[in-house]
Amino acid sequence: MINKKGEKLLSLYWFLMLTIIVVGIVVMVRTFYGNPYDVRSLEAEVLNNHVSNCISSGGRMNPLLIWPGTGQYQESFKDTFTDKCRLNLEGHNEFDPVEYYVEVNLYNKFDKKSFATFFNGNKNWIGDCQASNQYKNLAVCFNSTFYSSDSLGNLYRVETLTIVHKIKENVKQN
Amino acid sequence: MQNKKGETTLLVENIIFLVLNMLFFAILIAFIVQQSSGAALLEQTYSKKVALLVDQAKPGMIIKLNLEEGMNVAAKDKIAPTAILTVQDNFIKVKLADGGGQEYHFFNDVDVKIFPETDDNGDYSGVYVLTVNRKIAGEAET
Repeated sequence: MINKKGEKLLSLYWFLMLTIIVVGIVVMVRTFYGNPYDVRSLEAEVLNNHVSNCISSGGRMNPLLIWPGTGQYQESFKDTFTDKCRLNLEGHNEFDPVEYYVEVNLYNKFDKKSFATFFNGNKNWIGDCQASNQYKNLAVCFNSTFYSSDSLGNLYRVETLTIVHKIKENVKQN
Repeated sequence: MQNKKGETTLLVENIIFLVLNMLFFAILIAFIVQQSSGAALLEQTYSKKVALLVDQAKPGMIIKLNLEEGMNVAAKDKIAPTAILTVQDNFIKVKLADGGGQEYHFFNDVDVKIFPETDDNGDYSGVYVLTVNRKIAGEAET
């Protein structure tokens, strides 16, 4: 009699354990696979590399940006920056907000003031770069600085900032 | 006699217990596998992976991708292999189930053409070929 009662208690305990394990695993799996993969940091880095390669390829400034013979900055590059760098930042239609921002600052050697700045994309995301990166509902930013020279040997410092927003595709919406 | 009967009962109980345990874990593993290979998850993974690949691609590149797993999932809903992976307006679209589909934007302004590879018998192998070319001004995307 005592044994049967003990067995019943044990099976009830076992059933309770199984239920807890099942619920735990289901919740964990659902949480893991329910969240979209956040690839924005990767994308921001790839975009940064793409822009950097366009500005300077193989350590030499783009001849369309810095004229090789004279070392003169070509102002026209600013307006055709996205075309020259093969960038398409637009969404499906013109009313969709642009999900990217790209900014390039050019400096002479170690100057503190840039002699040229050009950008494209949605400026609204810049503010997100100042905020702490613990908030997922903010755009992801990527900065890089490198040095490059023109054909005359003049040295330039290039600072690029790329931002990717794309929250809808990369962060779980509550 | 009583001892033997008792032993048999204990053995049967143990076997039932073990079988139930194995069944329980089998169902649990099947659930995890099903969750990890669902159409929605694969659509998301493929669209993002392909978009990032295209972002890094240079004109003139030919990229081959093995999407066999996705093709098997799409076959359940009779999605044509040519409709699984498409590109439109700088968006990579992946469709593995009816009513589903996921798209992801790529910033690289290149002309991308995608087609599924066929083997010698004309069957789709699950491999997709992406050709990346310089975009010609005024050319309509396909």
